[in-house]
Amino acid sequence: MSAEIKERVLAYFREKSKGDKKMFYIKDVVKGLPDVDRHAVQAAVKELLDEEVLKYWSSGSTTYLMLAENFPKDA
Amino acid sequence: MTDSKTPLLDELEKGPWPSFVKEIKQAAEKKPAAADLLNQLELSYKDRIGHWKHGGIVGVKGYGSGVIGRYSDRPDLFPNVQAFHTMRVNHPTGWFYKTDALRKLCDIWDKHGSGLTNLHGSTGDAILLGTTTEHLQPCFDDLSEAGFDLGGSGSALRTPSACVGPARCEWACIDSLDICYQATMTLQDQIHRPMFPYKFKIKVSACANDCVSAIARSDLAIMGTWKGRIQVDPAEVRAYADAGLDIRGEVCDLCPTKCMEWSEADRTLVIHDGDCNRCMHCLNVMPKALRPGKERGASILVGGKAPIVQGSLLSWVIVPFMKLEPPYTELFDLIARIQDWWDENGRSRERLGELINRLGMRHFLKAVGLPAVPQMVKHPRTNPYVFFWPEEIDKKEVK
Repeated sequence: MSAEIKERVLAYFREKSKGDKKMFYIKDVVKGLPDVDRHAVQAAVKELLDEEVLKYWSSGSTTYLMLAENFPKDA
Repeated sequence: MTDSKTPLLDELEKGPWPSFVKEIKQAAEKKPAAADLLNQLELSYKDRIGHWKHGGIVGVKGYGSGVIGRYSDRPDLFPNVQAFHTMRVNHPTGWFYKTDALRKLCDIWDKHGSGLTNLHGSTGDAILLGTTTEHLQPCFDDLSEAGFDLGGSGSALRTPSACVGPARCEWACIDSLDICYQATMTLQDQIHRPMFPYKFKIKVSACANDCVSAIARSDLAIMGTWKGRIQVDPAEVRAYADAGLDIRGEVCDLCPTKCMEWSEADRTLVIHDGDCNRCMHCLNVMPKALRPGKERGASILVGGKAPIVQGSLLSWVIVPFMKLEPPYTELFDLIARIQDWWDENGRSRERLGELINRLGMRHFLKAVGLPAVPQMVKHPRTNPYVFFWPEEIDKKEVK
């Protein structure tokens, strides 16, 4: 796993989370890094989830991704 | 006048059928959460609005699915259901439990949750209703120790499910239990680590009777079927006729492809197997006389879904016949190609069937490397057009 791709994924989340929107589909992230292979982005996201830098948020039917620091405290 | 706190729900205890209200009331004798669940539901009936907030927490350590966060929007009134999360437990294939396994499951849920279960949800999982955030990990640990695992939820592969198949059913053309079990074990990462555009469901029916509703409810349906001639026992056919069965009216005339003829004069049934679409109507009416053909396998269908986001869809055939034997390499390779195409092209919250409708079946077939075959035609003789890819056209001839 390229550390550079992980850094870019993280940078994507930090940049996009500056607004009101904090949760993103995995497809948003893939689109945000158009020059990177989709599978490499997904692998980087999984590593960031393992490291608990990112967290899943799910409605039950749909799953989103967000920075752990933005995860609702009461959830 | 009644002094009940739940007069609206009490109505649902009347009548001859089992009542979920009665079950919740029994649970409420031991569990405050069940009591608050009942009272909140009564308020929902009174207000005509749900009082649940949903979403948030997704699972236990290392998992991204299997837990569905539920919170009361009136924790001031119902503090014991402030958090009332659902846990989805991967069911045993075919829903076979030993009694001690069921007892273990219930003991764990009595210890960590509300004691209320839903066996089983439409996904197939054993649904454990109502626990708090602090109990999620300890409950999962106890479930793991008892041999259970969480199922799928969110944008993940949902827990594959299968009919009882060869374990109990004479019609089984494939080992639905083994296929489902192997799919569950092979695709673990897809179940527990959501990375898809939306949910993806795999269901296995061992014959066309489709007892798990694979055609209507799954993105990928594996349907047991056969090749060749239906096996006929002429003596048993005559026995049905002697017993009063109207073979012409109840079998031949109801055959969707009209591939059968009954001769009253010489009391014989003729089947034109080339016209048969293996719907199994005749086999179901005369089980002692007719059996599936000897060469067994499965049809693979895609695109079914229930009506969420867009309308409901029935699956359609993409592989008319696939011989399915362990380790099912051909099947899993095909599933991987299908999921990869959907993952690349699907919009967020777009199911496979919707994507095929949007981009077209020919794009799907080209991407997954399948030939177009007549069995894929959904409505025969309704579409007169033939489409070619540009590279298929000989430029000299076109000129």
